[in-house]
Amino acid sequence: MEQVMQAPEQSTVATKPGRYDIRGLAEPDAVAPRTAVVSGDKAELDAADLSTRQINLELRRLLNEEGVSDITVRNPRARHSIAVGLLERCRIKIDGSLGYFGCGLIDGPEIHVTGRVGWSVAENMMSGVVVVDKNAGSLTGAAIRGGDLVIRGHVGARTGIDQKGGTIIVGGNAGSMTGFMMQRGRQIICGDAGNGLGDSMYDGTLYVAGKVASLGIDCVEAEMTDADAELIDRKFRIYGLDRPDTFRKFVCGKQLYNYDTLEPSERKLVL
Amino acid sequence: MADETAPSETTLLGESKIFTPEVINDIHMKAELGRYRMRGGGIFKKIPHWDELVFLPGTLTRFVIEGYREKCETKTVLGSRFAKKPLELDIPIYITGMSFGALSLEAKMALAKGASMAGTATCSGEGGMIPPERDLSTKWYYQVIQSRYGFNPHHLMLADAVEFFIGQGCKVGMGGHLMGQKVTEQVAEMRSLPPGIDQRSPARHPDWMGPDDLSLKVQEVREATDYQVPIQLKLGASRVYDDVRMAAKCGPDVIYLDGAEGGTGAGPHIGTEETGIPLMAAIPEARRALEDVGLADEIDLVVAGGIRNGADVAKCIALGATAVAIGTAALMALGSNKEIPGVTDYVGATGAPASKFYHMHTGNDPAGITTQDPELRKRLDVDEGAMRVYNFLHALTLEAQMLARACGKTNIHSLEPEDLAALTTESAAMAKVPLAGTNYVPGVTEDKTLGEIKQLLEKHVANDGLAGGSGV
Amino acid sequence: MCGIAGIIYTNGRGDVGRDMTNMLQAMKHRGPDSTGYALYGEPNDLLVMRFKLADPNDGSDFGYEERLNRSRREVEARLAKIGATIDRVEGESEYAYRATFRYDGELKPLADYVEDVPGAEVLSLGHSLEIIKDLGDAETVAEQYRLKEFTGTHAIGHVRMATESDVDIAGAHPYWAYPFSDVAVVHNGQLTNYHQWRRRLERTGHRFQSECDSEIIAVYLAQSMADGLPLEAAMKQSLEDLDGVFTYLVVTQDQLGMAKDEMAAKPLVLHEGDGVVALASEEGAIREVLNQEIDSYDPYEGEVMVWSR
Repeated sequence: MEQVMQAPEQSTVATKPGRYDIRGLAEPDAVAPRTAVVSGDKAELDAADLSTRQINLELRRLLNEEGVSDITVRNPRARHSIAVGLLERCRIKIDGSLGYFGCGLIDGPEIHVTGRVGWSVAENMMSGVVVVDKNAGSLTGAAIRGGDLVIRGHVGARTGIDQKGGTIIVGGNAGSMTGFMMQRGRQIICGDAGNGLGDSMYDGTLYVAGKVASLGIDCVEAEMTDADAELIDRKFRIYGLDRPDTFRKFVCGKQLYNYDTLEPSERKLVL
Repeated sequence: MADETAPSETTLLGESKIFTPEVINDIHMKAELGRYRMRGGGIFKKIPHWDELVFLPGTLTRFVIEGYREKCETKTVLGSRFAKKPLELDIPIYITGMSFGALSLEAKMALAKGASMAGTATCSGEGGMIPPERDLSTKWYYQVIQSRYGFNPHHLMLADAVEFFIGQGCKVGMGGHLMGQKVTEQVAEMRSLPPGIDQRSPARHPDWMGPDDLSLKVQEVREATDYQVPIQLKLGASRVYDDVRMAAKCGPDVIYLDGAEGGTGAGPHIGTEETGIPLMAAIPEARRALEDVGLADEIDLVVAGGIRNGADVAKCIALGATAVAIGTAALMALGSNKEIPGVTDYVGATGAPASKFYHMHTGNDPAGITTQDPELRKRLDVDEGAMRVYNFLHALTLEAQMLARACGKTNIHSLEPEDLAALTTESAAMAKVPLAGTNYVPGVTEDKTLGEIKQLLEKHVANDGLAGGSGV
Repeated sequence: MCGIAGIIYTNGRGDVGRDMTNMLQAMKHRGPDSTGYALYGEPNDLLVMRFKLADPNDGSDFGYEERLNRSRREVEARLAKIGATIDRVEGESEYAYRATFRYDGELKPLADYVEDVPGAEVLSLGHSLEIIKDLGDAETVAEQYRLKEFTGTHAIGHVRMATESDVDIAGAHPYWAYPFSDVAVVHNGQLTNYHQWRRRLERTGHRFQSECDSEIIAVYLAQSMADGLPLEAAMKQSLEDLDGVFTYLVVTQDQLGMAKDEMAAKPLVLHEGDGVVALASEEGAIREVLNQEIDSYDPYEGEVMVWSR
């Protein structure tokens, strides 16, 4: 699906008062700064003095107009909503840290963040790879549907909440409610997991190497199989991670799937 | 005739208005089930409603517009604050978000087609995009909902507007429901869930926890959609003044307010009955909130909840809505709650006559609308349904226009609260319009008078000082 | 709806006014309505009191200036009357003041007596705590109150997007734990048993200047400490007692603490570096004072941490 891009337009009319955003988060009139240094299919962008909008517009311009497929962003300075909505194959290296919603709503890119990320990194990712070298905030990989999300450090609470597919790998510890309402996919936690692991999960698999503070409602331990071990081996080889010797596996107990009683009118009559 | 007042050994003293037969039955059922009871539809109990307001048309004081002929503009633009492509609708009414899952494919298609014929929009609802619906919609809202079932950034790019579902009037503070009977293989697959389970969707979004995060989430979606389309926040009407102020500060283009009258495909009966405030009370609060944060002319207000006819639409607009969304009434236009002789048997299928049908949650909808059953779905013809939806939307618009013209407006959006009078003190207090035949607005009148007394007193003190007081 | 930040120099002092301004300015989008600081200078035997005599929202009619002058003279007279020896009283803005004085008595009668002056509110009182809060972003407030020159040992700050109360100073954080010396709190989140706690604390004789739940946390903690609990224990107990979702920062004369509730719904990023600990709702704020590559992490649910200067 191609993304609708509009040529940067000059603002012709005097700015309406409503277009002014006191918070500075909405930048309706920003244009791509055209400051990236391009060489062949590679480009480097210094984001030190750029706003979120300018960084994203420049990324789009490089990918869609300049035919660049490998971009390094320097000095991201923990800004929010960077590299979001990218629906094509490309490589992006973020040399530093991102704020909230980094790499959200993507399908295809391979992104490497050398610093840490704030909340909701790679939320709703469809496919691709996001690797974060340091820690991540809460809601890491929220509602992710595919791809690999690798956090080498620790993650906050509710990692992989509403997860619908893909794999989340955490090198360190995870906070409470990890895998909350998870639907599909896998999480591999090398460190400890906080309270309420896998609470109300529907499906999917959680592997934890460290201590589990407590299991959430309807989350149960299951037997590790050869297939599980093979999967973990493979993922750890790809990302060059140190593999803890043993993992425990947790899945859905399926006790919450249905109301256990139905009213007469709720029973299925036809079919 | 027997004398009912004569002393008798069998005379009943009366019957409880508290423990009615329905309440007694409800207690018996819950004692059996051990859980809250589910149902579809909207609020049952009587709440102050639009019937308690009337219009004050022109007679001699105002030039009335020729009722059935002269111009009365209905074009409605939503989201011109930041969006490069605001949503332009021919009429101020559109079809609200109802999920594929709650509704059949045919119902979704018929609503989309009917709305497009009327020059207005539909909304995906929960559960993701179904391509036939998108194809049939000329204007299409894509919902970012708590569960994120089926949410796909590619589909986001196809939207004409994005709606963040934060709450709904029918069950404020709760997530969606879809009973297992309706979770077919297809519905389940779209939502990445096992088939046949009872879906109790989350009440909060997975990737933000409060308004400060929502601010950033709005930024993310704007960045992802390149500022092309409006962003709308849908709220259930509850603590409206504070909620709308907060929502406005999160940077949306449009705020959608859903009154307690709103319906649902499935929800806990007690949630439907006991949460939220009427739309009539919510709209003035929302207007006041937008004015207080200085964004009244920038952020558009869409409202919904229990809208039945063109008068309801016109009253919403008069109180300050830019557009009105309909759900339950649109399903009825499609043919819900209507016996088809020789085809449907409401009493047999659901235990309730067609007019009292609220069993959307069971998936046994005899009209083939709120069901996934292949046999029942055949009963709904997409083209015929679309035509009825179009007819209904058209009729609503004509009715609203008629009232606007009678009040002397050549544009339906020129309706204002001053065009209304209230028939009860309750509705006068909630809608903040005067009780018919008086200047009295409960609460407002008293405040104004108190203010005047205070001012007079201050002047008096400033002139004479306290020392020379009257000895009170 | 807001952003919070804290900084403590674990060995010595720093440009706390400038650093806090930079941190708060980086989070302006979380709260452009008002900005507040609780700054700790070097403690000494003088008491420092920050107070205001009007709100920037109050209309300045023709009698405004005269009223302010009258109120200020009244405050000075009352301080003297209650037994304080005034060192100096400076006007910090047209309605906000900073007074230093010697005083050995109880703080509550003094603060009550001052606040009895029409329009007066004591923003802070202690031997090193100074609370400054006003409308506008951090740069604006820092400029107005010349905060960038303020050096000290630790501080917390807050940017506010007014929601459940109006845009005014009374609704701005931080909150001083009236009438306890040198205790202040900033908070992100909301308490859902606020009214219960307010009534409970009011029954024991406390009074509240605002409708803000953060003020409850400040007084709750200070009261617990006055009852003999160490700060950390009081904070741990608060996680049991307070309902809702919250992350708060508390400061005393020589400590800075953070607590996060069990739901972990409100963010905090933490960096513990050489000689400095910095915390903020967003990492971008920490970056403003530590621009080099740093390690930072989110404290977990139910965590309580305390640092001393």
